[in-house]
Amino acid sequence: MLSEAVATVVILAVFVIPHTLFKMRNILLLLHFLLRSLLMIHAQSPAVARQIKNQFADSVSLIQLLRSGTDIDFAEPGSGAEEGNAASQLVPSVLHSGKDLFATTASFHFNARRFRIKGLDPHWFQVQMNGVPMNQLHNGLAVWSSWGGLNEVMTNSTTIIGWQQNEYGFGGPGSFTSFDLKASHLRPQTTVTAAFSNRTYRYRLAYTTVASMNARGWAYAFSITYRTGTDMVQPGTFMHTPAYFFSVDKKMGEHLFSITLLGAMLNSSRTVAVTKEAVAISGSTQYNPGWGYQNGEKRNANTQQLHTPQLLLSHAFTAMDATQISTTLAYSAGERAVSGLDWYKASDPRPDYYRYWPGFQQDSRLQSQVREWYAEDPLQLQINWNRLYEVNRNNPEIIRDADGVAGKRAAGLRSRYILQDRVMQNKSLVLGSRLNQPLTSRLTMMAAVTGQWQRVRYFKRVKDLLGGDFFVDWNQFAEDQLIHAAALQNDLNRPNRILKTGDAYGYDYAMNLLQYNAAVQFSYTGNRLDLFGAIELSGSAHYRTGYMRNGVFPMNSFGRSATDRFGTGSAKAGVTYKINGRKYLFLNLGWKQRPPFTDDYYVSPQTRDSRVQEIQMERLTGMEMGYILNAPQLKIRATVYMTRIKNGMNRMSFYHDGYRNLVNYALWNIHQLHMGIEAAAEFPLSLRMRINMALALGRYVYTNRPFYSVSIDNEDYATEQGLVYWKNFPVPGTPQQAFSTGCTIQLQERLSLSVTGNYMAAYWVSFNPIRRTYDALRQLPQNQDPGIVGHPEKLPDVFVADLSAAWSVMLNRSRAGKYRYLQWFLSIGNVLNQPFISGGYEQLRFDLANADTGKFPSKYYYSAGVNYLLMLRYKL
Amino acid sequence: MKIPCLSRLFVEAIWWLFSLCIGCTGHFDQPPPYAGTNLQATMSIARLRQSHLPGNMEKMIDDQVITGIVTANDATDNFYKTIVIQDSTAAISIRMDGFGLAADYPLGKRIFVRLNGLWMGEYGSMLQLGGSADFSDPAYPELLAIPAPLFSKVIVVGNTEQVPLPVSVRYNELNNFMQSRLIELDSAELVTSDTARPYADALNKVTVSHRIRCCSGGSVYLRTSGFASFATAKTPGGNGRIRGIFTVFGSQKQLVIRDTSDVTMRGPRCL
Repeated sequence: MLSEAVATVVILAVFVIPHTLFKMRNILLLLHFLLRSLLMIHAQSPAVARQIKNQFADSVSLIQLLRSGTDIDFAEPGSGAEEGNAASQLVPSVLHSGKDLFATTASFHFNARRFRIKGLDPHWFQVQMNGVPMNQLHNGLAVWSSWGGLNEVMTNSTTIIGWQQNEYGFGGPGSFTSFDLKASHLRPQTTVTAAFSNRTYRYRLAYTTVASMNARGWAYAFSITYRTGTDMVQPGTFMHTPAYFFSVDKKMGEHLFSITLLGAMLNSSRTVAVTKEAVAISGSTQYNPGWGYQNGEKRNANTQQLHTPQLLLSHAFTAMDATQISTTLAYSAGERAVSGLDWYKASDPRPDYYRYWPGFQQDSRLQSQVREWYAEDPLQLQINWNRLYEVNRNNPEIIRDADGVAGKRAAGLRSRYILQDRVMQNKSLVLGSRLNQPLTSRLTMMAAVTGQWQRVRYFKRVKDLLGGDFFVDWNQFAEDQLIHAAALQNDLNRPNRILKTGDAYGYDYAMNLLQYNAAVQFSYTGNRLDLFGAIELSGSAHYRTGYMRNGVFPMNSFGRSATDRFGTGSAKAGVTYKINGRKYLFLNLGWKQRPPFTDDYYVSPQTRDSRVQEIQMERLTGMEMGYILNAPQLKIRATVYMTRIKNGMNRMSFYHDGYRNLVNYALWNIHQLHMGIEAAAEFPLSLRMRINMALALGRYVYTNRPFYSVSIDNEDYATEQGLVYWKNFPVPGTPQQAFSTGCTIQLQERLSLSVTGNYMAAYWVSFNPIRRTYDALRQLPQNQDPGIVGHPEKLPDVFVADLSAAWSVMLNRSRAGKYRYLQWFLSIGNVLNQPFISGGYEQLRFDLANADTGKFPSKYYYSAGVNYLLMLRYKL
Repeated sequence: MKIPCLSRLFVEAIWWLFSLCIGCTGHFDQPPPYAGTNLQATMSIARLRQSHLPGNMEKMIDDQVITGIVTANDATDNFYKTIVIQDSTAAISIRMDGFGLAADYPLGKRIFVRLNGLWMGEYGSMLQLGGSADFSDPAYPELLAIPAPLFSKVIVVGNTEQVPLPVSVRYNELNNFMQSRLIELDSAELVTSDTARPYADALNKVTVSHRIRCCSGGSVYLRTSGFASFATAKTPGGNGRIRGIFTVFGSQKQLVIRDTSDVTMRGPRCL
């Protein structure tokens, strides 16, 4: 079926080009390749081109389909809307179809290495549901896992990349994803889906019914899914997650009322990063220190439970003159609990604690003894639950003045080890309203107002006493350096509190957050020029409420803190020059300001309401310009962008066993510069073959020396502060350069195969700011290269090949005359089974005294090797 | 809208039940209580001590096992990275490179020590068991503590028993063979200048020695670590009984208490 020549081209395109491209550091080669392809396509006769257009499924939709599990219709011909009408003066504007070729490739193929568009932090990627924002106010993140697994209904979304004009909201530099979950807007279907995978689950079952609107104006959608599995690629992992979706619409004239309820009850294990030594000793890149056997079953200490149902009440009004007003009230309440071991006056129960590795031993005899012992008994590298129970059962104690009652004695087995939940209880209420109003035939206005209230309560909770009778709410870190007797009380209002399963302890506080936004955008469609401009104003107020009076900070831990208020303004504007109905040039400019996150500017919210010395609002200026070609045979989008971020803030907390305390690093005044090229292209090679490419060439750097301060949870003063010397350091945590070439082959009308090669380069592991300070290098022994401590660590570039296939089988025809289909989708990731590190970070602990980077080495996440997803969908 | 037929409703109902049942995960069974060990001691602590050549450092190469009951640990942080065990014949200190040892080896716990691979040596004439030896300074070889990951290999815990009663001794009975034993001195008192003083310097975390005088003659030093949880407590001024682990440093005889409850000195001082 395929000529050898074509096969050669495919191999070249998919495997060789990405491999060599970056090594030669030659972007020209890519441009050359693109030009050659262009010429080749233009050389084809228009008749062939038309045939090609009709033959092919949009390869984006195939990718999207495999990612999300939606259907595509293989026989669907491309829409002919953009066949330019030369007679008209008005050149049609760019259509944003909802599927951005670059964004799709990036999220599907580049996420093997945690690719982030334009290298931006996750809070710059906004998510809306029915027009109201889903990003949380305390950290700016949208929690995708709270609706994870609802693939069948969560596909009705539009993603807008960058500063482009946006009919849903103001948008920003990253992306803006808007879900429309109204039942009548979803694709009508009744499907049963079964999927088999080794990625995050083993089995997925789903039943979905979407009934389109009936004559009386009712529509409903219903979906229920279940993802489950144990011991996926990593031993000890599990996932048991039901998810539900229900939506009813009622249309009354020009009004559409809609109720949607959705949520996922996530219950799964969490992945932990491991050091290279751990991989070497355990002999596996999939080593997971989080589990151990209990009664013959693998029990994982690192789990998470998340359930935050969303209730959306929406109203949409569409007038005859195309005026649209849509309003949504969203209410959400739920919690996320992340479990882990906690202990009191006992040895660290985590098997990957740094003191347990051979490398910690100075003596070579002991090193080899430890190594031999682990080889002899590999279970030593897992949690020993039996020991934890045994320790707790051997610890009878009497607590005097228990629960703060003088003379009350609590006697029993006091747990030294417990399983704790770090809980975040979240409540939010969002009201958003949007008006899309055509003012003249050429000028339209979008105006949106949003009010967002959120309250997050944070506390620790006893999940399991592991064989003991009680735990006591004492602060063992304060006890070690007792300033005064009361300091050891986590809560002076209830001293010596005896804790049972389910009790809150340690810390208990809430962040109360309120934010309101108003945005307006005007868009003008000219004959040759499209223009838009938008502004957004926002105000926000944050305060902390403490529910415990901490023994170390009795004066500023309990009750309500002062309120911080922020006002911000943002603006953007853009122009598109329409060369013709297929070719466009655009230039967009944006300026955005955002209030700081409480996650970043509270020094140690667990214990007190202190904030960093200088609270700053992050400011971002961005420019993007590019070229769009939307021809039937060729689609190109190429963008050059530059984004400058100023006054960023960050806070990192970790347990420092030198200080024997939780330590907080606060950073502020972080400036960054992100610039680069994003390009994607799609074109047919022959009648049955289509190539798509995506390229991201970025350079993301820190451009100044931010301030830092280190404070310990049990001390009110900063122990260290100064400047972080990381000017011109790369921004870590994302590949700065990535390239993907894919080839989709239509083997039969309903069977297609897709091969993609992806090259990801310039990934730096997240770094510890403390290693880039004067204090760290001051300790450096003479004649030792400071670069060993200071230089950022770059991971090797990786090449990953992915394979996917889609096949649709018509089974029978029902009495009603409908066809029933069985669809098969197979996706194999990393087919060459290349082991690689998908991400990592430098540990925040650092041996300052000896400036030794080896004592607390970097930790890494390792890729899973070959991974697969096989999905069968039966369409009733 | 087509009204969903019964069969479809049924499917949906099953789905709900299915997810509700499996969505909530069951609790893990508690493991059964520890059943103890079949391990048997093959040698007494006295024989182990006798096998030591003074001034030497030996590596154990035989599969010998000793057993003993824990008489001191780091519960109050007065013993640092050390536990002391004792059988009916003698006692020995084991240097262990870990924190929170009292959790695994509480007072009264019987433990079995697999000697093969361990080292025995002296620190200021005090005999100890350790994990290795550092000969980088040949004049002063140093015994190294057993690394934390090897605890589970070297030490097997047994059942919890009674802490042995201290042996009541007189000053002149304190010889090197008594090292690490839980002893009791009667009619003893702190010298006048060391009474009503903090047991140790908690502020600077410095170890302090106070001199204990026996009425029948002779004196030993009460040594307390600055990290001890009772370091700030004041030493008593009376006469009476003091219990503790007998240690030596060179020719100096020392006593290390586990807690202030080891000290009962309320009687009139001796003349």
